Amino acid sequence: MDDAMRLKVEQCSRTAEDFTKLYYSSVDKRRHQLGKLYLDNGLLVWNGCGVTNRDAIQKYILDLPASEHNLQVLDAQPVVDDAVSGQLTFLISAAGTVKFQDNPMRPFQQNFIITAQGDKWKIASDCYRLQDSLSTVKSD
Amino acid sequence: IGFDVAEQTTLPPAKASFLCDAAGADVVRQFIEQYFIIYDSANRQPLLDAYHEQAMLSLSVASNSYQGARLNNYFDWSRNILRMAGDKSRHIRYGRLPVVSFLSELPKTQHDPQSFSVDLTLFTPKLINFVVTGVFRELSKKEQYGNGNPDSPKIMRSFQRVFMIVPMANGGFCIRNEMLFISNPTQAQSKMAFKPRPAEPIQPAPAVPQVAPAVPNVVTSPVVDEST
Repeated sequence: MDDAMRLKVEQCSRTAEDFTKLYYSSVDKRRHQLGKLYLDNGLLVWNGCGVTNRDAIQKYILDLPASEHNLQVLDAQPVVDDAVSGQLTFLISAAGTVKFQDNPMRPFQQNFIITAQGDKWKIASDCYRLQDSLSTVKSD
Repeated sequence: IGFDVAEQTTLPPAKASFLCDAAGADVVRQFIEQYFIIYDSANRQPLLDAYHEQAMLSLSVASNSYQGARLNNYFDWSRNILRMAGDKSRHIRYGRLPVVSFLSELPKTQHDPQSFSVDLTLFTPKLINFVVTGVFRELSKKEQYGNGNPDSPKIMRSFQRVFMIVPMANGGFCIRNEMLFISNPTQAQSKMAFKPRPAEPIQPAPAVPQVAPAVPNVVTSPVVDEST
């Protein structure tokens, strides 16, 4: 890995740390502000349910039961392909445990594609999965 | 008379897959099929063809085990930014050869395709991003090397892989970025692992067909918004 790439990785790692700190405190405590973190035409995929556009995402998350996330693992990489040349784009992978009101604590994994818009980082896509989302026996 | 302050406490039901663009279904399905056939085989070297010359791969491991077998086989290679001092590029495999030799060192596996959930979050002519979540089991020493205790316990793992793939000149695709996450399964996952379940084929979510054209603009020409 050359120095230029090392720098990118360094910046990407720092951004991932700052970003997730802000994201999880927002989603747990200040949900009404969360929409601002997304691009206008951003995408949220919540356990396989797709929601597009900032306002719809904000509403979807507001309607979820109150949450307490505990972030434990964080990984991130810069995307350096020609396809995004000139456009800073980072992949972020986060994992930990979450407790939604009245639900048992469960492991979750979440992936973001964030991209620089002006001097602000915005979420282009956000993919959230409770680790065993598909293994829970349906109660109907 | 009370106040209407009751909050929602149930979670929306989960779906097995989301496709931001129906056109991506075949590409993703084929890619996943081919990738895991090789990954689960005795020899992972053929994966060289699946990675870009400057591919990047990192592995991260859940920091605490919920239950089940220790994750010792993976911890030494785990990249967790929250616990990293110094050089942040440590534990990133960069380049086709380092990536595949690293993958070859990881325990041999058998994945359970029925456990997979697949989320396609970006589908453009130049860049495709999708996330695969599911379970695999580690092969026993007997299965790997032909010796060892045949009754050794079957170790189950939960995993998530994020793939960023790009088209190649020959019409195929190769991996530009990959992040692999490994943890122990929850009880619910262990219970359902490798058991048949009702088929829920990968199909587009009809409610949001407009996603695909929107996102590519974001990634390729983000400055447009500013000028308007």
